[in-house]
Amino acid sequence: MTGPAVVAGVLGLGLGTLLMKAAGPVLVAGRHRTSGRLDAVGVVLPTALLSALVATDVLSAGPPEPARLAGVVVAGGLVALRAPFALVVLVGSATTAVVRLLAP
Amino acid sequence: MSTPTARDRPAARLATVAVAVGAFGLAFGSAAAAAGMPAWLVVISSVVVFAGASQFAFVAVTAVAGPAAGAVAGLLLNVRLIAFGFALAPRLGPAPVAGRLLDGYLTTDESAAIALDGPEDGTRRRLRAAGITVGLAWVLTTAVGALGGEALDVRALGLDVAFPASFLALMGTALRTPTGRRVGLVAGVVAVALTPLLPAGLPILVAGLVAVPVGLRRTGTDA
Repeated sequence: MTGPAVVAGVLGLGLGTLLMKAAGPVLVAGRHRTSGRLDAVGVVLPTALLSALVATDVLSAGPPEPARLAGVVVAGGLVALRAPFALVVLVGSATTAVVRLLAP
Repeated sequence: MSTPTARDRPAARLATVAVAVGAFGLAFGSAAAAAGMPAWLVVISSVVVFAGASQFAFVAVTAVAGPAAGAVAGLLLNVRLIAFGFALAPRLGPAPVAGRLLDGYLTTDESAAIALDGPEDGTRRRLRAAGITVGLAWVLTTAVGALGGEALDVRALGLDVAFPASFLALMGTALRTPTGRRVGLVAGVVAVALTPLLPAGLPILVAGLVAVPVGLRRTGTDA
């Protein structure tokens, strides 16, 4: 995965991403307040997109691998218990690692 | 995510985010190296794109459908960052254009969540502190992952789960509300159902857009 086309793809993704990230701060910051409805979209849309990412990551490639599913379920349980971010990631990963070790 | 103790100890909070991003960075760097992306390009990607999920998507889609499709998939994933930018913007206050571009560059899922959680007049300070912390952790760990990709066994360490686990953690506050759970459930089901039917990246975007009206109906602001 190398060559000018791949480099151009990375740079294009970077430029487009910066434009999307900076649109709000550059166009709006310090000028006027957005509507409550737009603020609500700003909260709902990320939740929807993140959930879609998790669901497709775990389920889209057919039946989920048991070790992977175990790690994600443990991570979800820790989130429900309000565990800190790093603990969720590290214990979730460790769970998957242990299940893979025991039942490869 | 909005517990008073976490808000009272910003340094501890930044440290936990740096560790989580670092785990994700090791996973991405080594996965990209395993997919054949040279280490220097992995590092450039982390500096220039600085949006982990889209960099992951770029590598995954480029491997099967070429870099143009990879870039489109990454951009679709990052549409959510427009929403973060507009959620942050009214709280940022006036600044020169270069400063506002910097605010945009430093906007990530993690830095936006930290910046939005707390008093309005500290939003820019929290965004920049978290953005710089996340950026340093991200670039350094993707470099380590890319260079040590051979030595580090991502699957044996379970680091591939860092990706969904970190997204679950980012959704934590929202998932504790009924609206957030409804939105999450609808988006997840729609995305999985559409995956066999649409090109990579599109099911995520469609699921996101379909779920927004679900969240805004009735109890629109409690998510």
